[in-house]
Amino acid sequence: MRRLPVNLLIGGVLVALVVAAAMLSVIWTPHPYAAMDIPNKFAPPSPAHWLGTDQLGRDLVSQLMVAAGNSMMVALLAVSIGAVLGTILGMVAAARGGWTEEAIMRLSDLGFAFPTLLFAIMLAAAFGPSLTVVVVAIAFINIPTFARVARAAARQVWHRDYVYAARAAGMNRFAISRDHILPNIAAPVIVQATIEFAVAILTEAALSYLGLGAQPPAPSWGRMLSEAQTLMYLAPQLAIWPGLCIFIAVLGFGLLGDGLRDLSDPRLGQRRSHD
Amino acid sequence: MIDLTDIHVDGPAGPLLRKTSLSLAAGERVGIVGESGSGKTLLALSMMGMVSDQLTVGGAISVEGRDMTNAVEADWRHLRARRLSMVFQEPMSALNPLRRVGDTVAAPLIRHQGYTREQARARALSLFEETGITDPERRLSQYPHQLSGGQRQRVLIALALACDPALLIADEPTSALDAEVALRITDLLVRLSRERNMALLFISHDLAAVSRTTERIIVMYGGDIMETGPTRAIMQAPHHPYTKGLLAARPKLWAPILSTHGKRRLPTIPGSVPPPQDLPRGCRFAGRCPVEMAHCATERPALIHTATGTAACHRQTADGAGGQS
Amino acid sequence: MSQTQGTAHPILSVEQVTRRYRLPRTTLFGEAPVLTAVKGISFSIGIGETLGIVGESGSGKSTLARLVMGFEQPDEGVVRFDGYDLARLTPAAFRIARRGFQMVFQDPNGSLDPRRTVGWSIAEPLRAQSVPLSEHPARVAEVLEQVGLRPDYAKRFPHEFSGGQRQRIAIARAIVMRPRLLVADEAVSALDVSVQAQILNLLMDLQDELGLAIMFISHDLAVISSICDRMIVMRHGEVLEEGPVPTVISAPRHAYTQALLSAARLED
Repeated sequence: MRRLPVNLLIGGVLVALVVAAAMLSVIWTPHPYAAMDIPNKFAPPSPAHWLGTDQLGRDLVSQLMVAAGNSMMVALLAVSIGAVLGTILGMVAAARGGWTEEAIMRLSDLGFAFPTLLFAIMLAAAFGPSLTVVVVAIAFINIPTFARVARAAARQVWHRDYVYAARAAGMNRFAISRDHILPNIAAPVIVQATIEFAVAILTEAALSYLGLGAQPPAPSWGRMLSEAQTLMYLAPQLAIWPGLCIFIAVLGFGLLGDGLRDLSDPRLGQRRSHD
Repeated sequence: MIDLTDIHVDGPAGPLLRKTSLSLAAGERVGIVGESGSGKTLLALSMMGMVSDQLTVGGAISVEGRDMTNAVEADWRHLRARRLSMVFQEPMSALNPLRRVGDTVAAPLIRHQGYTREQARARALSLFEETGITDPERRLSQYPHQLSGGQRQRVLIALALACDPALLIADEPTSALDAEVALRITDLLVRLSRERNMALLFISHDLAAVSRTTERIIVMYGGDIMETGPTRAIMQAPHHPYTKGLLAARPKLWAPILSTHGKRRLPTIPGSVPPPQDLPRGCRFAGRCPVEMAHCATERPALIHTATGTAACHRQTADGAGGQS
Repeated sequence: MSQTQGTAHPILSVEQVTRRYRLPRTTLFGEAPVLTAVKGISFSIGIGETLGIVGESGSGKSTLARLVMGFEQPDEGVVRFDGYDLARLTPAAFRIARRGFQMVFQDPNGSLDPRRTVGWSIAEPLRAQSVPLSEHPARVAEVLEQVGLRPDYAKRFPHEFSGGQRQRIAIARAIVMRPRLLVADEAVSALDVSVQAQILNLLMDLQDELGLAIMFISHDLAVISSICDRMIVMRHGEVLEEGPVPTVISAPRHAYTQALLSAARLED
């Protein structure tokens, strides 16, 4: 019965827009995204090329759509891996306590202190730049974030009476984590994942901008930006459109995450149950 | 002092407080007893103009001769800053943990009554003394976590008294406290009411606490008044079957020991309080009542006079003696 | 209603138990302050007996419940259930021993997982103790009836029930393994008066039916008096007084007990 938070609504619409474009790009784009048409370079917007073409005459809309797909895929993979590993670590820390918890949390502090960029550059130096490197780098830095969120939430649930009741029943820590802890910490973890998704899109764009991520001809918003940089005065629209896409996607997921958090805020819940 | 006429509160799922009339005289100590969902807190909040915006309030209300029926929030705020005060159950969450308790008490004096800092401090000190706070001078500069539960509740009472209210509403003020401490808080409330000729509305689920504190009791159930009357009379000879059940169901300290049959089962009221949308249209107690009649569930009984007060029970009208089984 | 009183064949015996908590440090280099919640406490509960533990907030009575339930280990002393030192059992043996002692909590809203059906929660001890799955529905239905609820309630979720009904569900879960000792920590304190009496009666009925011993923790002397055979008065982690309920209430020896009683007497 509660009104949906405004940020959830706006975020949802923006995210739906980006996701729809990305999914559509799999089966259809106005033009093949890599098709060059050099005589037609820097074309202005027209019925054939809605946003015009770039310095090689490639259709901008098609590139942006495929790039959206790449961004989504990288963010989805990286955040999922980070969330799963981080949540498991956080739950183990909360369940075992003692030195295990101490070790996991100190290690995750260490992970927090490690700059993503530096880590990605090291990976790229070792394995060559690719989207895989980007995924691994983003996933890695996400682990401590989720470990911390999961542990904080799990510790609270471990002190609920129904967990004591499960312990009194003779349930072991693994079964309790599976039956009670995980379902009851899912909300904060999902909220965090949505927010991290926005950060991941931005990070992917940054890494690709630096040439550590998507390699030509695979389009990426970040790489499109970096290529457009030298042409800023000649064709500023080439930088504006991918920039706007990044802005919309990050804003969309950020708002969605905030909205979900508002929705699952315990204080709102309390107010609802108050008679 | 305060008059409520046909006041009622409706929620999205139906009425939460049925049409009720009630008045309090200056200096009178009245208790509202009820279980969860009885509407006792709603009734109190409607006297303070503090019912949530999501609920609709109807009926007429006047405070000290002033009609507040169509009052706006600013009028209520004005009144709450000067004539009406409230004390809540949880003394910890009602105090700002980052503020010295002396400053908490002084702030409204400076703001609403134009006291200087020194005057406000002196007044806070005298309020602390009046409410029996030990070592009041030192307490002024302490933080809430440095005080015990009982001392915190006293601070809240001091805060409530700062505006010299004509009515103090205390909503479960002793429920979070240990028995001995609770006893001293109720004694304090009685003393303050007498000394200041201040009306006291004491709300609790605890019949014992209410009976210690008040002269008159209102028994509520399911958003309706079941019975009213002088405290002593209600505790000794209740008329309404709900009040009777409630009194009988209380565990007694001595009865089990004096009993020769070992551990005896306690008398109970069968069933449980239905959620608001499932309450019967007639008497709210229908369905759980031991002396229920056919029309009880469909016709709402009016509050009629008994030997000692009033009761809303069809039995009362049927056989005059009232609720005999 | 027990014939076996006190120490003859105790189902639970708590011997010289002490429990300390390290509090958060207040200075950077100083020793962390220590709170002794329970100080060298000893008592025992006979088969089918109800022992009341009365004390106010901070008396250590809830710590005692956690120690007896094995949620925490004592720093000193021994908790024996049916003669076995719980701290010396292997994890597997401890899990089996758990069938014998179960707990009912204060807040019926918090003791049931809101995301699980009532039947799922009641069957949890059965799963933990590897009772064959085929027996679960019948056992769940049986205990639901024993606590005065309809067997088909098993399919519903906790939020569909009132506080009193939830406490019945929690009791059903506690008795599903047919324990010999029930630890009830303020089990009726959060309930409305009319419901409180129902739950106290239910506990007494179950005790007669199943021969349960009950460790009944409460701050309310009248409640203790209604249900207990013997009682202990606790304050600041120590036992001040112990004895049969009628004796303690009619002739309290300790000044603190007298003060508690005079507060309670005014209520009668």
